[in-house]
Amino acid sequence: MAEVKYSKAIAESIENYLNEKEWKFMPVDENGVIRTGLKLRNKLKSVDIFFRIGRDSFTITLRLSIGAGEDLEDLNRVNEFVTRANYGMRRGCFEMDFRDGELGFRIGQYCDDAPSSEAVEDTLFIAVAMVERYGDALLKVIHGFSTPEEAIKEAES
Amino acid sequence: MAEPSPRIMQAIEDFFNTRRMKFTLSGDAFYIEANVEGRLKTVDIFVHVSESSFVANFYLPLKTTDDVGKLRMAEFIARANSEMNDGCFELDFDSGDIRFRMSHFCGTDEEPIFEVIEHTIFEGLKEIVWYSDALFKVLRGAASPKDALDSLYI
Repeated sequence: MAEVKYSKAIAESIENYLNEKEWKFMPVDENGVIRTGLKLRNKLKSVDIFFRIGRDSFTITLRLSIGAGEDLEDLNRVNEFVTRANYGMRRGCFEMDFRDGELGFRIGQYCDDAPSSEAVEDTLFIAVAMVERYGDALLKVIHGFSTPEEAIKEAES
Repeated sequence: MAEPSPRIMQAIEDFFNTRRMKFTLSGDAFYIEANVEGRLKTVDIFVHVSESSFVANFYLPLKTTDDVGKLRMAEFIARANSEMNDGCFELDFDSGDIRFRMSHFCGTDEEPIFEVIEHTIFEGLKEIVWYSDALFKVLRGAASPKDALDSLYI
């Protein structure tokens, strides 16, 4: 018997939620990933959304359309912003891939069974809210218009 | 600010009592000192409860003190966090304090079940212990963030 890679119950619960809210999405693939996207209200404009489903959890990753670049000085500057933003957050965290500067936001939810619509919605909305809250300030840091410290103060004011 | 959920508070207190973990309670926060394997020895855990969720912050007995050290630690944390599905390391850029965070959304009318609380506490401790040797290497300047992380998989 093939090994079960992901929980079908969790996948179904997430797909039911997305259908209920009339989101267009790509159904769960063989690796347990559901893909969709969202237009944002900030200067980032849009974000790709991945629901990665495990056996007893799901993780939502929002992949940003802009990266930090590959120059070490740029990576360190943007990563300082990411680090400052993450400190004190209640759920989820920004991520930066040091290999290529790719940026994203990740939030996970452990579930013993199929998650409720409320749990899916709360997890998704927090991720979107954080990207909208910090997105413009992050762009300023990427383009060198602000220091990480100043940008965080602006985002959190 | 909304009051912490009494259901979530009770569920967490019941968990600690069932597991015979000594705790103190102040307002919306439980505090536990956890003994762990390896050089860290102890980790202070604060579990904060809100209206519909709880957050566990695990404070490591480590600190970065200079600007170069903070950048190196921030890089290590970014690399480590990219590997995870749940939880994340945090660095306070001002104080140099390092901690790990796990959290869970319970819902407005539900309390977390035993397994969820257990996962939050023990998965957090497991991640900290797993990364601790690499953290020490980066703190001492004995390895680059990338090499320290790679050394965990040799």
